[in-house]
Amino acid sequence: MIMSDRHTSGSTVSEAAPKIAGVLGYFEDPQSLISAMQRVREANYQSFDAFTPYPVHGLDAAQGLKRSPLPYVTFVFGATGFLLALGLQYWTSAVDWPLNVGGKPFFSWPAFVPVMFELTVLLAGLSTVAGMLVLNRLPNITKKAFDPALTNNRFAILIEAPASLGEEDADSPAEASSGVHKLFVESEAAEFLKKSGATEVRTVYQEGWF
Amino acid sequence: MDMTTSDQKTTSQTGFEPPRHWIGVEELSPSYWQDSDVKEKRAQEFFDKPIETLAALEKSESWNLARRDFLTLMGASMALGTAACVRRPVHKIIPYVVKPEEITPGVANFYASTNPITGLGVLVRVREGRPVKLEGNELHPLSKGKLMAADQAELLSLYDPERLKGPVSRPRGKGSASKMDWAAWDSAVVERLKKVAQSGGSIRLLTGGVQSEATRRLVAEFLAVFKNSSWTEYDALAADEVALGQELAYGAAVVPAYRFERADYVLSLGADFLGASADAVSNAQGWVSRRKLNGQSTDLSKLVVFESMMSVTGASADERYPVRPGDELKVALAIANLLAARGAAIPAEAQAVVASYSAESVARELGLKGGAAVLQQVAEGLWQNRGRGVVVAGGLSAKTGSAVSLQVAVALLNSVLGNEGVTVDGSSVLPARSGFAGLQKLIGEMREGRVDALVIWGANPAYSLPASVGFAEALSKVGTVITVADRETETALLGDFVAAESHWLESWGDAHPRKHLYSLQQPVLHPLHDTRSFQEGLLSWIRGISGKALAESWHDYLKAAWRTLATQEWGVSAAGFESFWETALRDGVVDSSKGKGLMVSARAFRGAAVAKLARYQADSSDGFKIALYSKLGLGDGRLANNAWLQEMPDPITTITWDNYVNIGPSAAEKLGLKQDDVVEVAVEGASFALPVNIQPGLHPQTVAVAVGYGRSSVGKVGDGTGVNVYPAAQVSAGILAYSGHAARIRKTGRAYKLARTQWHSASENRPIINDITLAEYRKDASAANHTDPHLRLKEVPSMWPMHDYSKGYQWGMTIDLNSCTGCGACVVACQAENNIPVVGRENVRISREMHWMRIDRYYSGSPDQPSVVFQPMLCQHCENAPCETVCPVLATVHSEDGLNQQVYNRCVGTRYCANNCPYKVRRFNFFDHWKSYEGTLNMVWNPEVTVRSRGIMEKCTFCVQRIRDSRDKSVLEGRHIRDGEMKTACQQTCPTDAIAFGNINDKYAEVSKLRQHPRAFKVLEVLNTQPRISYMTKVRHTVSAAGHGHGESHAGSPAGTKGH
Repeated sequence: MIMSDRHTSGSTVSEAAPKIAGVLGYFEDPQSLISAMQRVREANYQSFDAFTPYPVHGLDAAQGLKRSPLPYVTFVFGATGFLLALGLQYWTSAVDWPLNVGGKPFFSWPAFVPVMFELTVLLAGLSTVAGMLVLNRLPNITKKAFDPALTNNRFAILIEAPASLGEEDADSPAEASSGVHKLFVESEAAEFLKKSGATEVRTVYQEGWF
Repeated sequence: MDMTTSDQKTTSQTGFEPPRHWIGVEELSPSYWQDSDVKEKRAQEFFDKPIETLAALEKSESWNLARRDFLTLMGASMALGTAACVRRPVHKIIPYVVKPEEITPGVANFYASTNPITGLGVLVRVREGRPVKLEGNELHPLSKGKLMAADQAELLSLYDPERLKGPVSRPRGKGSASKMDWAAWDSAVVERLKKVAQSGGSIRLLTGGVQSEATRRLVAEFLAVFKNSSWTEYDALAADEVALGQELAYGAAVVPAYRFERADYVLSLGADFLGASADAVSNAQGWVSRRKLNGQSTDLSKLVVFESMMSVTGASADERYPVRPGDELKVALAIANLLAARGAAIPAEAQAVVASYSAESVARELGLKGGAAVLQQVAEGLWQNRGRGVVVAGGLSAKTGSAVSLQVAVALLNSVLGNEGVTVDGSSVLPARSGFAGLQKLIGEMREGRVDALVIWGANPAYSLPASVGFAEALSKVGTVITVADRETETALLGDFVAAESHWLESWGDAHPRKHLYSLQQPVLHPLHDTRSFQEGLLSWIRGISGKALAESWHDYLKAAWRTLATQEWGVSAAGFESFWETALRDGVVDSSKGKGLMVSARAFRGAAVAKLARYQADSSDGFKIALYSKLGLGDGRLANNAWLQEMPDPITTITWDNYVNIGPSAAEKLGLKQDDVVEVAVEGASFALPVNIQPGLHPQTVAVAVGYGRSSVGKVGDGTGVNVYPAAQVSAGILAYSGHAARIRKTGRAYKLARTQWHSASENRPIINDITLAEYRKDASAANHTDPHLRLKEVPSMWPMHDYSKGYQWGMTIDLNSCTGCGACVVACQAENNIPVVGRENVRISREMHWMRIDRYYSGSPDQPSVVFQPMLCQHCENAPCETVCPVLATVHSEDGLNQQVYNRCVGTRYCANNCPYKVRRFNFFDHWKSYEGTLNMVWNPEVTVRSRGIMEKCTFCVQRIRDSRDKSVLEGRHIRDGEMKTACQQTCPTDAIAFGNINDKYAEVSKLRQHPRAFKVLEVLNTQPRISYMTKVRHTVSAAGHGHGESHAGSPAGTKGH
């Protein structure tokens, strides 16, 4: 299905052969996906990923993903919001235009709490969303989903071809041969996935929206 | 918390303990406090909840539209309003080409003038040619810068849109009235008058009391044109019984002036000399000069009042005894009898009469609590202070059939005590001219058809005389009746011609209220309508009838009269007259009474006058007696169309907009009457139905009703407001006896809700006021503060540091409750100064009155004989203002000089602030009240104060416009604002100087000294609101505890101050 959709966008159709993106192996259930993922990771492929229709517990560990730096972003921006609110209110009500309200001190912090809270939450929340997008390099308009069923009912592991990675991300041939990572060979990878329990294996090609 | 526990404790141990100071008799019953509705009502922030308000509104008679219909109509009218959108025509306005020299836009001019009716000197603040405020003229010895409420309200009457706008002719029996121009009107009138003059017919002139010397001259010249002419002066409230009594006692018919500043002991028998009296301003100033306890002195004069209706004088009394109207005479003669026993020189002829009045029988008859000892004590007080005391009597409620006898008896007392010539001044006053006897004679002539033409000016006998006098019937027999009035009064409607009269602020004149005291009245604006003064009319009639031009204009005539006067009275040379005239105009008054030998000797008392008085005879009737009284606001009803006065809460009853039957609590209980029940009061010759007001401090046999209401032809405001009770008066021995007649009371079963402000700010039962006796004060000056919790606290814990108020001007106020008589002059002054709208009866009923200043009245003691404390309540300008902290939009904040400010433009009308204000002094504009001000009324707005629109909160500003004005002036002159230089409107007019205002950071300022006085306390100090207003406790000069709530000796009275 996906293949047949290729090259439909744009007026000029590229006649060049599509670049291989990797090998996609489908699994029946999350358990087999996780155990297969452990094997893929132990096999030391340079790059691989999992596609599931919903978050699968244990997959992060199996995949060997590190903790996200996003909380630090949230904290820094939350603190900024807090200080900004405090500073704004202090400056306006105690420095720039002091108003005597009911004989209270100009710097009446309890009155400032709601705004400080609001601004803390606002900046923390917005920065979390923004940070998530930045860290995930989203939105990404250069890649298209391999198979719509992956968002519906199927689980899959993709072993990516180095060619599909960016220049800087891909191992240099020297590095690859030196055995830091397992060398990607399409047929071998397909075989490996099958062995790991994939019910179906498919080679996928790089395909963008534009 | 303390309150609750202590209340519970006392309730369980010793039974119910009512509050020491109570607002109404309801609070004295334990069931009131157990009523869950009451508990809820007193705990909630506002007087009533929106639901209740709506329910009340929907029930009211003027609420014709249901709310839903109203919204529908509003929608429709908005749609129509938009449809009717048209371009407005362009009107050009043109600035002055040559600016008048004396007018600087934005800067007020002050002109001295005189109220010709009261003779009080006024200072008129004029902005761009438009008078905006009346104040007393400080140079005038009778006003000394002060005015009462009614004098202030004259300003609104000037702008009354329902004044006549031109002369009217309404020939009797010839259909409807027609408006005319002056030329045609004059020629018609002159034609009639000429006929009278040529045929030798008789003409009569009926006026109110005329104080103007020049007018008297002009009237004499007018009357001289006719062969048969005479002049009658009559005022409904004229003290003609005093003049008659004085004539019998001393030989000259005068209404004496009193020197209360010389009196250590004042006994008033019905005389409301501090309130509804022509001389109230000067009386109050004199009296209060002996009532100040601000310095080291602990001397206080003593005021004892016997009266039938509670007046502000009675409320200010140290001891007050309720009597039936007419009993005043018995009290006076019983005291004379007691004085005789002390060696007073009662004239031989008088002794027999006096001896018949034994103190015991009088006290028994009157039901005096404390018995004859009360009279003994008063007699002793007067005797100890002989030559330093004064006995006064009078007023409508004491004007019974025996009123003249009462005056003779009072003259006897003053003479034997040596007060005559010291505190009673019969020599500097002018002969009394107006009286009922003259009017009776005139009516007789009219009835016999012996009057061909009658000119009426300044009197409204068709309204103020009972039908039995037969004025209307007699008037119908007069050939031509010409009325000079500012509106078509009840009397004018019976006549043929009505001359539209100018207001006194629009016309020239003068007044001669005392010997050697002359006062000038200069107009401060051009007549608003096509009107002219009475005197202009006289001049033009004289010219028309005899062809003699006395003067170009009334102004010229007046000036010529003063030219003569200046030569005779002050020896001004012809050359010096112009400058004298200008000085007199500028000052408004010429007082040359000093060194004129007034008050040098006492008048000789004629003992024979007493011999004619009736011997003592007990009045054993057990029925009611009616006491009519005049209110200090509305007076005789002349100003009934004045909404300021109609809406001014009565100082005693706090009721606005209506008159009512006052009845004592015990009598009401006996008859099963509740507040607002409508009763029918029947006296001989008249009966009327009015709602009941249960008034503590009334004799159980007294019903009291105010005159001045129930006008039928005065205007939208006054027509049908209340009921006219003048018909209850009866002719008796040459005077019109208003009071003392037997009255029957019948329940009608109906009820009418009086617009009473009394409960609008009732609080939870916390101590906010106290009073002590002089003895207690001498022992411990701060004794009154020892309530539970204390009124004055040394320290109130706070989680915040106090704001630093130690720099710059910090405005503060003190109000001396010892001086305050509750007269309400400040309320109207504030209303005039600060553009406070009138809201109407319906809105007052649902607690939406707008007065920034209210006068709270508290009773203490037994309901039959209570004591009264007044407490003017206005924005306290709290340093820790609770209103400010709850405003979500910072619409109310503090200024640098310590004012609690309301920023109208910021206010969104949440009413949180009013909710949080413990003093309930914030007022919310539920409507665009200014829209109800039509036509000329809009000229009354003070341009220095914003006119507030719907949906915003307002309250006392400490007259911030005046503060800023004086600050600007001081900055220009490079100095500080001097203490006393700037006065708030309320302070400026207070006749007793109860209010002090100034910078509390200036330790030499009067206000700072008073704040430190041991008597000073702040209201609800326990809340740590730190009010800027301090009150000075009331101290009563009373020794006995009888009826005055101070102590154990009086059975049934609430217990003394807690926590002593």
